[in-house]
Amino acid sequence: MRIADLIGGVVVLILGVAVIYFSSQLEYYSEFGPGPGFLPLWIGIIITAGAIYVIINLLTKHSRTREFFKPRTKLGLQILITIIITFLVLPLLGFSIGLALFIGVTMRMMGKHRWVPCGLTAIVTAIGIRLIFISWLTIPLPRGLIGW
Amino acid sequence: MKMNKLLQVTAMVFLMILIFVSGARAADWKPSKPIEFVAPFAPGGGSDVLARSIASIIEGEKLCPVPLLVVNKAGGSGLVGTTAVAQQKGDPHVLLTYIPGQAQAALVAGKGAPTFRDLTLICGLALDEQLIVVKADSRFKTIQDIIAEAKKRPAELTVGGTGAGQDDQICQRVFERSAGIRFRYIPFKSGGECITALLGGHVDMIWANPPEFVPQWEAKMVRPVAVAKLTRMSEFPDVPTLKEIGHTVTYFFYRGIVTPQGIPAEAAAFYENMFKRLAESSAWKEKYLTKYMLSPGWMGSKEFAKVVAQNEEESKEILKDLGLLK
Amino acid sequence: MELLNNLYTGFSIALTFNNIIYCLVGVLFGQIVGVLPGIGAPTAIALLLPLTYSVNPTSALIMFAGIYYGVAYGGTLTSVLINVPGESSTVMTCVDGYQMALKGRAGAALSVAAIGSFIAGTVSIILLMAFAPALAKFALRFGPPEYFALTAMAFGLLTVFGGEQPIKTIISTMLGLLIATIGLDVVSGMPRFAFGFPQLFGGIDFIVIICGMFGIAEVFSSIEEPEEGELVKSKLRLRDLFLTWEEWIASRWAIVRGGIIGFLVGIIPAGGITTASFLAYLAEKRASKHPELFGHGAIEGVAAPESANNSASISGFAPLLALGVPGSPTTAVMLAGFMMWGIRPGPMLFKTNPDLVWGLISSMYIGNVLLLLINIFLIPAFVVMLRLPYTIIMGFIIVFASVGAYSVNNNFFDVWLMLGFAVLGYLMRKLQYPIVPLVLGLVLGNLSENSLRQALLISGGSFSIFFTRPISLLFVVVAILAYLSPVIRWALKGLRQTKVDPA
Repeated sequence: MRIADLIGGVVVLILGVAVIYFSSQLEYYSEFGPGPGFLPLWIGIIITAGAIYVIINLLTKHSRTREFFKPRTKLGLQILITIIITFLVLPLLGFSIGLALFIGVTMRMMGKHRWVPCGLTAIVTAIGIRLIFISWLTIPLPRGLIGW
Repeated sequence: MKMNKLLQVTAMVFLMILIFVSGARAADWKPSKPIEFVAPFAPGGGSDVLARSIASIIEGEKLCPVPLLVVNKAGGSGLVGTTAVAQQKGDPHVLLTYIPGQAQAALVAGKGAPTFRDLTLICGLALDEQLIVVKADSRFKTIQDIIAEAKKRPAELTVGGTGAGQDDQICQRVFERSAGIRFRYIPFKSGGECITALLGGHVDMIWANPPEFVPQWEAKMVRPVAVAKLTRMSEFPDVPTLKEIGHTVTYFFYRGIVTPQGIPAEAAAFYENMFKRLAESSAWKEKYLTKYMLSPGWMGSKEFAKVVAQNEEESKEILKDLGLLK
Repeated sequence: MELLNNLYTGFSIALTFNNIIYCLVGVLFGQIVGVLPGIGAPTAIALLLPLTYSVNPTSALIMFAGIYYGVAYGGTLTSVLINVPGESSTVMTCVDGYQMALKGRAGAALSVAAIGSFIAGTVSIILLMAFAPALAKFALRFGPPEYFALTAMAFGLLTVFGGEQPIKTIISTMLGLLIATIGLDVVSGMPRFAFGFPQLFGGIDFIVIICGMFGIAEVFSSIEEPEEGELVKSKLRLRDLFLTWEEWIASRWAIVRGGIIGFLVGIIPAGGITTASFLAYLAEKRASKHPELFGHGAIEGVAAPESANNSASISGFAPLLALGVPGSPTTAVMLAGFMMWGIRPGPMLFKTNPDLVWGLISSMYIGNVLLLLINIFLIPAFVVMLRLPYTIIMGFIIVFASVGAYSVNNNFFDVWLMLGFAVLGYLMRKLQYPIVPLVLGLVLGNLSENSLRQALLISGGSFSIFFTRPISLLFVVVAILAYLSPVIRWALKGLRQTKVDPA
């Protein structure tokens, strides 16, 4: 946990420095009052200072340790990857079919449900999205190559 | 299913074209599916009202075989929606409303922002007006009072507007240069915030389009003192133009229609023709121009392209003057 | 007497069969639209606007108003059940509402939200009726300096999030402010932190971030710690669906306070419903005797923001009706509607179209009663949804969050951004960076920065503008006290100890 917290602190530190760098390219003070670069610069400075404080605190004090990775963290990662794949194919499959497939697959993968309930839920989801969001609320969701 | 139908329709259209192939080329192309009509501003704004009025009039007058579906893609002074349309290169089933602000925002934003060169300009439909409006009980009775006071106290009078580096600030700079005065421009996020600040007495005057202040004008809470136009507006016959008092500040606030680049010439011709018929209809006059107090401003694609390019050129020079462009 | 007369006129219009139906359609539609994150009241009304061309404007307006305040009821459902706020105004409900759901108190959370909304809404309507023009005039005194002072005060209230590591609260707030600066700067027109991505010129929409950081990030956390999900199921019994007496006692003052804050923030033109719900939550935590329970399922944490968002959505009509100025995106669309129908809102409206004004206001009473009934009856149906296996609920969360993120601007880019924020939210939670301050920074960032710069433009660069105007001065003083409060408390503690020690 301490390592993870430390890495987090360093990432925040890098972010803070980057913000300072990019906002220094914007005008800090205009004719009257602060310019577009005023607030971002101070945000950058405070983030940087905060990150340094967090890092020093971690290095000097002994905080209680908690595991960063838990037994099921891997499962979370799998879900993340499944979501990424789903989002990649959504423009091709369309929202209704793509998201329905996602629900079916995760039910099978995580919940260890039988194929039939998985399939049924997926079909209901696809119809639901199509009818509610696309037909009724007329949200122009991508319909994919199949056009559904 | 849908795909099949689409294929069938396309095939049929194709067949019909083959059979009836004749003179009028403009009639060769017809939209084959609903048209996505992007309004790059939030619901309720001028561009949204324009898009929705057009869609409903076109449907009522049966000017188009397929429906126009209005979609708001708001943000970044219209650049978000403009970008989305510009990226759909070659797709003839997308339309976008276009105002000078989109061109000017693209100039200021610089890298990555789509200019009119990334779009196919179809036509101009109407002209919006910029007026200087003060509170009803303002000590300024006329625009001359304002000029006189601004000369005494340079850069102290405050003027509210919407969108830095756009229409009203550009208009103001032209006026300032001509009259040899300076104001302090206070940018607000929307016309609503702007008129509210005027009513609250937080700014001395504002730039506004008629729909933004007419309710308050009718209630005698505010009054327009000048209009940046060549001739007086019929709705405000007593309000002088800036030209009358010796300052040629005319601003071409066009409201037009564009599509992505690379669409077939026949498609562009189809739309130009469709919008021409729209602009000539009486419904257009009644349900849009009169209601929202715009001037008719039909421009065909060639003329519109000239106006847009010229407007950008002028804007560029003034934006440099304002220090917003290098 | 005149008020009673007006009320009579109003009800005789609102209670016609036609208008009751329009009201019902409006609130139902609002409830449904509210459930979906990406589309809010403005979009829904803009969608329906062309259809009302031939409808009597009063009826159309009654329907639109129904959508407007119905949305706040609907947004609560998803906030409590799946931690995806259906509307930005129900974000704060997620914080304690979802925690309550995990403890098996989803029914109580939804009930208190519905009852609180009803009470606050009704009181708000009465105040609107009695004082709309006067209130709207007063609200005009809010200019840029007042807005800045108000936001400064709100940030001051954040000190209640002290927690174990106050420095992480500060970093989180700054992250929120930073994200708010992305896009074209209103005051200068320059792009900031867009790195040439035109999709970022408009900034990142609040809903996109919230769907990711609350909804999907929650999925990752729940998968990691599955025992949370189990808890819900084991405890779900019928009597758990309703509010207990203790819960009612705990939340009644929260409803009153939330309602008042909501009403006041709602009438000031740029106030906004979301800001109202945030301020109500922060103030409630401040006022509470046990602030440490907030964030872990405190019922006041649901009652206050829910009452506030509803009363704010109603008082938001004051500027529209009395002055003809839109105070929110929704009222801006309604203003366009007025134009379309050929009616001019504003001070004249009360004289020229009294039927419309009083009919509308009276319909709000009816709409609120309808919403209360709908929600009370629907709560069991929705809570039962939580009995579904978590894998399915998780699927719903992903569906709602991605459809919601997409529909904000009909742009797939936003869906990816949302996923990015989901990962960020998950990591922040794990590393104990609180998320609420980030959200507050997001909500108030633009208002705060723009109004500071506008105020200084108006004053010509002089900061005295914040101290010479009474309302602004009041907020500034409260803000300073809030910032100093940890120091003051620490000093008081020291004093007390030195007194006790010798004895």
